[in-house]
Amino acid sequence: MSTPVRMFTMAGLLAAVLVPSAPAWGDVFGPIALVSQSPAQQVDYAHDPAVSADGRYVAFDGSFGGVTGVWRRDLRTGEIAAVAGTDAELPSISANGQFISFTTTARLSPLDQNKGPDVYVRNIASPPGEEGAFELASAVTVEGSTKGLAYGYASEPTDNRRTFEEEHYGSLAGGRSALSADGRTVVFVTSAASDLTDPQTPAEPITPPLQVVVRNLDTAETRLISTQLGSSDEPVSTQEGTEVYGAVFTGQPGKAPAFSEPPAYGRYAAGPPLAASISADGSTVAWMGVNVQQQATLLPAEARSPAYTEPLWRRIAPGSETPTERVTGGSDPLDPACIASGESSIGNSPPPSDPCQGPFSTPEGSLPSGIWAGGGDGNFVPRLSADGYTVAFIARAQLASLGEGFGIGPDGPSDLYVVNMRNGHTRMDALRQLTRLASGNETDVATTAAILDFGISPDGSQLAFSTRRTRFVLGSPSYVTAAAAQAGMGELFQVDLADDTLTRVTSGYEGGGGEHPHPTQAPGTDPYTEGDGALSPSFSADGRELVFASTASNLAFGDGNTPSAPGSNFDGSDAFVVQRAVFGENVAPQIVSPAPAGPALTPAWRLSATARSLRNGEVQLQVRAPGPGLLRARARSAVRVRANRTARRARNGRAAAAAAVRPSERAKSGVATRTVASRSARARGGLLTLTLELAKPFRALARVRGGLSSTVQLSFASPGHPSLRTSVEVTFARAKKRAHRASAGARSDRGGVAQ
Amino acid sequence: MASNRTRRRALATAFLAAILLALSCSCASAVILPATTIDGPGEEIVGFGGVSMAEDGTGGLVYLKRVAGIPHVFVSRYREGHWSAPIRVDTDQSFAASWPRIGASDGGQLVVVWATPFATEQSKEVFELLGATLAPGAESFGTETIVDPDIREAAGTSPQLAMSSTGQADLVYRVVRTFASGQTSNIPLLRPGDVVEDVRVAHFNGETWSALGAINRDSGVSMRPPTPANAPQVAIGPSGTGIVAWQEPDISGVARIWARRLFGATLNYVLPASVTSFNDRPIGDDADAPSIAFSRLGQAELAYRQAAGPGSPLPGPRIFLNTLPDGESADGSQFSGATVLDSSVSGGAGASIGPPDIDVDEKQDLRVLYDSNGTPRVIEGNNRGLSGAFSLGPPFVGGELRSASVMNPTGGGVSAWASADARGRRAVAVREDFAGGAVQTALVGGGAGGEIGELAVGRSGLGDGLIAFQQGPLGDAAIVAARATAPPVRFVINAPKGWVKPGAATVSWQPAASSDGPLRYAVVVDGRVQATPAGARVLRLSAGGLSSGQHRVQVLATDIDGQSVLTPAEPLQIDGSGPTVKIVRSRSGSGVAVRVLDPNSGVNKRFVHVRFGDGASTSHHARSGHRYARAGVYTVVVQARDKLGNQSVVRRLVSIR
Repeated sequence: MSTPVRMFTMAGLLAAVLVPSAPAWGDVFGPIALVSQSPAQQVDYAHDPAVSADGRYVAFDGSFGGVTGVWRRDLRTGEIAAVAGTDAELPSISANGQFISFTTTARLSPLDQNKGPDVYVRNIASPPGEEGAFELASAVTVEGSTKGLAYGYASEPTDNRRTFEEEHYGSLAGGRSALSADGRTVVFVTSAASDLTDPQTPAEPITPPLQVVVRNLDTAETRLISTQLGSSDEPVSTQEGTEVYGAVFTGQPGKAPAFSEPPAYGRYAAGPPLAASISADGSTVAWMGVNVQQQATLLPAEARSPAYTEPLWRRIAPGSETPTERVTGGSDPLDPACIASGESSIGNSPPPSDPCQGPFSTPEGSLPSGIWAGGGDGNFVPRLSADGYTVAFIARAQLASLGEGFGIGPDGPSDLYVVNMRNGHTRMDALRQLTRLASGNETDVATTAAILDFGISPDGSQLAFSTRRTRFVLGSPSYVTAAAAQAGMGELFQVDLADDTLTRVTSGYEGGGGEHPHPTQAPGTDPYTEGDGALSPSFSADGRELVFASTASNLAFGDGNTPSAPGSNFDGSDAFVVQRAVFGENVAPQIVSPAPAGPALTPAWRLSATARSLRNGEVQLQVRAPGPGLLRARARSAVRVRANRTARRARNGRAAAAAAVRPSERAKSGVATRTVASRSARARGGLLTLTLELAKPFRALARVRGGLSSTVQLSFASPGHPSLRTSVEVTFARAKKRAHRASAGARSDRGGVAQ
Repeated sequence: MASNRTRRRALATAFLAAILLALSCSCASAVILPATTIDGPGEEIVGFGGVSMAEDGTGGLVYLKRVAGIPHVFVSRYREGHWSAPIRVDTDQSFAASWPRIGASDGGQLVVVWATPFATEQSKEVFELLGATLAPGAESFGTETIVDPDIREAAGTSPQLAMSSTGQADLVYRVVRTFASGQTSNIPLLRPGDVVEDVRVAHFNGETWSALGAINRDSGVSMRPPTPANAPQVAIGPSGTGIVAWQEPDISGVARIWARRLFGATLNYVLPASVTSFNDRPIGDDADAPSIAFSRLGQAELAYRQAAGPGSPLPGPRIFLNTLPDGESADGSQFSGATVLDSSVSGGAGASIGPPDIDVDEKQDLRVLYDSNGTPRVIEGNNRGLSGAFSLGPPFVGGELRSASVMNPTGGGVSAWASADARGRRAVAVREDFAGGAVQTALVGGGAGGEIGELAVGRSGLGDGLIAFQQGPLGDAAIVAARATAPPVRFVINAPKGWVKPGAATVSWQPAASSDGPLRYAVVVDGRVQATPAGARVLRLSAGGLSSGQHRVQVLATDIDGQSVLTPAEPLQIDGSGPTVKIVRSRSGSGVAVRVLDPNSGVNKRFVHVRFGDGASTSHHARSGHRYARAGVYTVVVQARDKLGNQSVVRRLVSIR
């Protein structure tokens, strides 16, 4: 056995001893579960997963049964739904999983009139053919009319490159963080010149490329976010030769990345996705900026090249809007000490004690400079907490406070940071470093591997990141997982800011690190490359579900899509979910079952009434109705009628309405029973008072001595109940002013009941 | 003027709103109420002493809490549905308190006893038993009085205090005699570990304590070492008579259960309460865990646990039940004989049986709760024997803790025991069974959680229970209390008998017995609630809409927790209208027939007068007729009264051919 082989074997044995047999997630995370599969089939590959805030849905892009596109998995039912096909990628998902944003060159809306990539939002509640299933987000609305953005290109229409440009440049939205929680606000970045600010002249787009744009699908408002400082609509742009710098850093100086089809995801060394982030509440946007001097406040005489990079942040919610602010950087002109010092510029390598020195050492030199100096691996798009006030980012620049550090320059391997953007903090105070290089040997993966991707939980209390690094030297957060003996593929780690801990999330289901099949390597040769392993972490709203992608094949039992040899387009990546173990509290919640019902009152369905003669000749009825319904009261009395008239009216079929008869006519009159008073009313149940007044022809009868005896017939009708009837004997008697006693005696107090 | 009208309207609206609110409140029904943390959690909570409840619903709980590092006695009083802030009882004492116990009587009176050291003998502390009273309406306890001046080292004292609603109390406790170094007892120890011990009783007559001394059968017999399970028990009735039960070895050396009636400060003779043989084979294992309940009429029910070792005639440990009749229905001079309470116990000799808890009511209904292999079992019975057994869930969790059974005189009752939720988090399970078969369950606990320590229940005697317990480990313990309340007891109403005028329709009722007062009453006529003034015990019904005829009247009583009881319907006969008069023309058209009717109280014929309009008339006939001599239109006037005096005057025109 050769020495290197023996060393490797020894290292393996050592690893076997040092790495605990129990999974690393032992006390913090549960077992890892495969997401990118249906109940019957695993995907060919899956990338860029994003979990909905409710933890139920995971959107990812990839290939399923040979069909590429964006998919959504229901973690509860296992169902996989197609969101969009062909080259759709980089999904972000709304809180309830209904809306999913993505980028595609496919024309899914008639508003989309270009060949290039555009940003869409799919409403998965609507079938693909239905209106509203796909909403074009990279669009503008002018006077109520919406059109897709038109793009302009550097090359002439006859140029051979023109077709490539038309097909690869347009608008792009990042994965996981391009959509607000309600799914109605989208942030995207233009990678070509557009007619965003001059939509009336789509043939000559003048808005420079690499702008940050937000579209609200409900209000149909498209807003340029990356405006020049002090201007509300002037886009940011600088051209230096052939290099064009917009507002957003592309990963390489002055060049926009071409939209590429799957499965190029995750190969961030070749250029991370061009993107910006929006907070879940839609209030805040963040991006990795260039042209910082145009967008945010620097020292008055601070000279920064257009290629100088810093994460930028802007609140756009009405009421809390701000101009674009620097999240961190090489200077802090708003530090009270800096203001007090009166400095107007900062040297290329200022001492840490300089009151205007920002948290990072950002000397100008190789381009790009600044926070993401030198370009390189890693998805550097800043991520936001749900309220937008906590910003996570990765930086290649080194903290100014570390001085020379390990001798690593301003473009060293990246580390993870988190910043509090609430007012009242200097940039130095607001910043917290979460990882730190463990050595100055940039070839030592275990100590200096880059942070490739990261995510932040909606409440800002957790972060997850992927790296091949195995040694974490900060005491805060404290690394609480047993360190792997040697670096392998990229693993996922979680930072719990509340517990101040750092935990490795991923591990093989049999223990150890993530692995996938690879050809036999020469002894000592690293079988894994940068970007191979875990990527794209995202949290559910409560921080319990952590979803990520990984090319490892041993995270969950049954992962069978990993190719045995490299070179295939299918990299075997899958989406996974792991649940954070939440330990039960000692306190049992108090549970009291509903109390049994009390005694039931069953009101009798009956109609009862009493009557009272009033001195003015009227009769007052007090009726107790059993419920809502229509109450009718009809008083009938025997009255004198003229015989001939009665007969004539009867012949005419008219209703009986007789008149009181004068004494002189009595000989010709008879007696008939007539309705002398009537009234109806809506009863609501309970006691109802009705007053009956004699109809005009009979009113005089109340003045007759003794009044007019009458029978009041009451009926009550209520839907769904039998009708109720009752009658009450009454007397209509009008008291004579001088004969109170006599009339009082004529009063009656009677009652009736029906049931 | 307008403002007065507005004010009146506003007042009327407010009154109506109040009525509606009161009615809507009656729909809510709180039976088991969630637990509240009375004190803690914290390291200063060092013991729980019990809880007591009087018939009127007042009560309190007692516990030990360190003040400046020294345990002292604290009480939280319960009144009108609320726990008061804890108040210290032993304010005059600077030494550590222990063994606190509490009793409650009507009006909010509380009696607390506790042990505290008062001297040192040969480097050992000697304790006394003290008592203090919180008078009704008082905000602090009165001066401490000595209940027993010497209870030696207060080892295993385990006092039990029972207090009647009328303010008398009995206290039973143990005094383990200790001996100076080098000295030994001249009483032979029957078993290794036995102790020489007195079971003593003290009586509180409402004002002062009387020490009745040792009451155990034979002071020359050693006793089993004191444990919570073999502590003596006491129960008391409203008249001040009570009963005490304790464990004591018999002549064979086997610990049995004994009992004595207590008549105030007078002791009755010792009664054997446990069986000595089973199926004609002697039981050679100890009995323990007595639980005793006392009815208003003087009946005592005793449950105890009988161990079953090798050679036992019992298939395994069992709960036995014995009854001491009240003397009215049966001979009250001796127990009627212990029988196995629940024969369906699995596990044979290895069965795990917890201490029973028994309650009884004046109707001789009883209810026992115990731990049968972890399963809560409830056994119910009456004067004819056991009537039912059923298992409750969830299971017992924790050590051998006392459970709590509360009898509801109207049926069913409350059970409470230490348990846990599905995730194993400790809580107290509470179940209330109702007379109609309905059940309510609950898992209650303190805000900080933790294992259940001691559990106690205070009974009102009307089905209500104050369930209090210590939760959490010592050093982080809390005192927690929950309530299980019973609806008001059914009560009697008086409605007028026979037919009455609406103005005489007056309903009155007796106050409903309830521990959750003050009660709200509402008169219900034909199923509809009538506005009833608060505090009224009599209501004259509104005549409006109260038509003549048969009605039914009830009264709804609602307690402060929204529970209500509805009295059975009483008939109410209203006659507010005079007789009905029917005047019909004869077929020939030349005469009329008059008929006077009253389907309610009936026609008083003496007051029937008919004038036919042609000068003819008749009287005193409910039926009459008249033939007219000439054609014409006549006015027939009928005057009539019913037997209540309701008068009708009907004038009707008739056309005579």
